[in-house]
Amino acid sequence: MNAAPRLRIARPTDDPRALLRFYRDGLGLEVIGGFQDHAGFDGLFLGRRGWPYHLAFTTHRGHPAGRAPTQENLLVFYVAEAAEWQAIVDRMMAMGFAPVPSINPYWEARGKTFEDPDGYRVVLECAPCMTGEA
Amino acid sequence: MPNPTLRVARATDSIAALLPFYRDGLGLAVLGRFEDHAGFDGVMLGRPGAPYHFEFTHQRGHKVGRAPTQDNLVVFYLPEREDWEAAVSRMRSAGFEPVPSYNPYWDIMGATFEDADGYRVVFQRAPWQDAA
Repeated sequence: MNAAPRLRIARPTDDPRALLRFYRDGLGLEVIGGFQDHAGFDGLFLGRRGWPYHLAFTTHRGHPAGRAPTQENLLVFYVAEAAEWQAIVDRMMAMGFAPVPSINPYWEARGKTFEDPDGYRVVLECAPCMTGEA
Repeated sequence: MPNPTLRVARATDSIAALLPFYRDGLGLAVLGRFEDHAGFDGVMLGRPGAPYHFEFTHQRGHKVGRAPTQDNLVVFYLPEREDWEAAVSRMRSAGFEPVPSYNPYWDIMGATFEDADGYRVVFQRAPWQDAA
């Protein structure tokens, strides 16, 4: 396997449109693809062109997906520039997504945690604010 | 903006039960571990320098249960046949056999494996190309 295969992180949802507000309008990801009614499945891909990973949200018609099983199902983005980090946090808040307290207090030190409409969480870590701990 | 490094993290009831799958089967390296940081244990797995890695955490005294669906997936795109075959072979050598995918799409070009918690990994023998 080469060093880093392209990666998709995928999960079902009951409301892809609600996730668009969070991941596209808030986080600033772009819709980079999708599909409709492939054997009853619909899908939406979010990421940025050229990035080595992307997200996929799927629905299976007639099959509810439900909510996140825990408050610790996280995607952590280590944002390299403090100004960029602040811009994303500001945009999330302008979209009406307020940070939530993280379950693990570790994420409070240099990051902001946001919960999507399904209960899955995103942590925006300010990478340059870190002190070297893994 | 360049891609941020991504951590894909979730809670588990047994970090030890996941290691044979992610370390031995997927061949990921243990990048770090911690114990009892404010009641949390954790392990980070990935490849040094890669743009993403995985973390599994356990909060002592808390049960989190299994994957909520059979379609919570991490998909690795392995367009080169030899890479794909090596990945599948390593999983099998570690004792993991493919399962039928929930979405039959992944059975066409992929092999799906289920970890000890019910979360699934797909090796897709195809390139990923962003839509035009």
